Amino acid sequence: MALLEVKNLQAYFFTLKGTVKAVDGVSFAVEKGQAFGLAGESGCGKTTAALSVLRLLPPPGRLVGGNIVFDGRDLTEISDDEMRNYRCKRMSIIFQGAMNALNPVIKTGQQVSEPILLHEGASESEARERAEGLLELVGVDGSRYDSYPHELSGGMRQRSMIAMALACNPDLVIADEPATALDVIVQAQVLKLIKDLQERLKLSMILITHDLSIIAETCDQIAIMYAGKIAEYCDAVSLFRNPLHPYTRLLLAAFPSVRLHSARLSSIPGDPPSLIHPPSGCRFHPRCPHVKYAACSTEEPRLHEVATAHYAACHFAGEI
Amino acid sequence: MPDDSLIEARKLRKYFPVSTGHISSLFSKKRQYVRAVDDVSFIIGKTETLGLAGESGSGKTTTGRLLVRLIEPTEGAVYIRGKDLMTLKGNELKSMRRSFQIIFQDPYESLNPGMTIYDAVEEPLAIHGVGPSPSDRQALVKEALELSQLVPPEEFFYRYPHELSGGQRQRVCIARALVLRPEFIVTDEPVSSLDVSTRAQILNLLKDLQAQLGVSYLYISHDLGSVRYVTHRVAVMYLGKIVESAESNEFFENPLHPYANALMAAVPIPDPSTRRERIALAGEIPSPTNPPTGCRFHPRCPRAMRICKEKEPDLKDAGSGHLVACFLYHSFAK
Repeated sequence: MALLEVKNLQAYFFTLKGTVKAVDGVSFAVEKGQAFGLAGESGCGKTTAALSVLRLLPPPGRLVGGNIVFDGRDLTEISDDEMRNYRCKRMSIIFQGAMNALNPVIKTGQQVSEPILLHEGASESEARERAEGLLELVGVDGSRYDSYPHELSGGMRQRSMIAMALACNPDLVIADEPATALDVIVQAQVLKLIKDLQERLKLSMILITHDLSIIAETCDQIAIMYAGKIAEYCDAVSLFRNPLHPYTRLLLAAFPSVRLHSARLSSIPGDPPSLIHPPSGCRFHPRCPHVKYAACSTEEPRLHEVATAHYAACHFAGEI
Repeated sequence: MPDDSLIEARKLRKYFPVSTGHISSLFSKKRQYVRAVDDVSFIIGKTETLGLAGESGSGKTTTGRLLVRLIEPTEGAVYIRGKDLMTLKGNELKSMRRSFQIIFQDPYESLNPGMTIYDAVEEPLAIHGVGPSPSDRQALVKEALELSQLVPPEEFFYRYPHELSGGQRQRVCIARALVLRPEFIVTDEPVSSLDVSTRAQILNLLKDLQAQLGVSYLYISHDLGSVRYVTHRVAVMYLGKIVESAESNEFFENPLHPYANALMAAVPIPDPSTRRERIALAGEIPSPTNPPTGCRFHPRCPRAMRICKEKEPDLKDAGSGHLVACFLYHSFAK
């Protein structure tokens, strides 16, 4: 059985301008020890989906529907107190942008040891010892325990965030754009660390990113999101070898490659749609180059199996 | 030197003093400097794009700003069509400024939220007194918006930046840079804050404008994929110095400097079947206040030799205009 199963998740933001359907009917499953990638452009709902799993959605956001089954329990049904027992101990998150996610006036080591003190009732010296061990594990010298975040480099801060997420030995780690704000070389270091730890500690992981090449290098299973819905869902190799959804294809072609010189990049016309009034039918149809059928603008395509274990939400996925 | 050189940077240096506070400055005589740009020279030809690549803190942005004289260099000069930009003053400088523009990284922050799109694009015309009558100006603004593919332009005249998407805002910034018909534009990470799908649109737009108007660019970016896509030549900076410079395709097919190789190896490849062992370079870029002795890259270099610690390598030709500042290649160098 999958460690985490998200079924028909709906998370909306109730703003003054209207209801933003940030996540609208998203389902996916993460197996034990699997690296699952959630990819898409900003505003497609990938972070909202991840925060909903931890029930950390900030107001005016609210979980409207769906089930989040983690290790046999539906997290949407349990109380806030019970939920607290899941966070950190069973599942944790590495937030985007380590610059802002750490408290600037608390020593980095203390922030790493905080979950150990809080959730495991360890003594202060015990927590310190474990936090130092965790810092070493992620490649930060243990003596940096007493450093404040501003005394650390960007890479070290991000590593400390990873140490914090691992503090209580969770089963599932959600990494939300863990390397986005970093320079390319440090980014490579941090991603390698995450991948190594995930394999060594047999963690399940959800990696959220807009960069498909990062997904290619770290994930086994992938979901591509567009405008609050999953457009394509399959394993990593199939996605890059045989992308089925027009959006995925365009996204892949829009990346300028370092390896090859391209004469002309294909770009996706227009901008991502508003999630208050999403387009009718297929949400991608106003930007889709293949739209020629009336069904695209009237009928919403269901995520269906097009090839073996390869799902796409497009009426004509197998034909184009 | 190519005959059609438009802009030349000659031995540019920019040192920023480190503020140490009043008390410590009373007691210590030595002032410390951040050597953001340290002896950088290059030439950009007409209708050419030079890419400036490197990690943050390598001095790319400072170089871009020096080039359009937004900041004054500590040493060195910038020549535009043979004229020394640094010696110009007053009206001469102002009229020279018409021929070069800069586009910043973040279109969210570089547009005034209280100005309509029309006002923002028209402002450079007003400053330089271009277009005698309001209707002339309106025609120029309209044309600039059309060039940046904000069509129909009238629809954008009275809108405010917050009503536009990121891609549209960056197009407004491009229109504002274009309205004076410059010969040269510094684009400082123009797409790094944009989404993947809009990124390709803006990169294509920059290329189209070059073909159409013959404008030259300095394209500053840490994203090597986009550098390969838009540039003709590339210079890689590390800690304020250019460590390698070559024609784009030559550079990407055959990077020489160990730092350039590390940069290339760090770029993730969108192909899950080639999960390679990354040659992850250890450590992070050191502080430019106290750069390492000798070659600035030697403490992180996997191929460092003894000489690297002692002497600083010059930028030398390793064959057919491929310049590299590394002792590994100096035996072949002329």
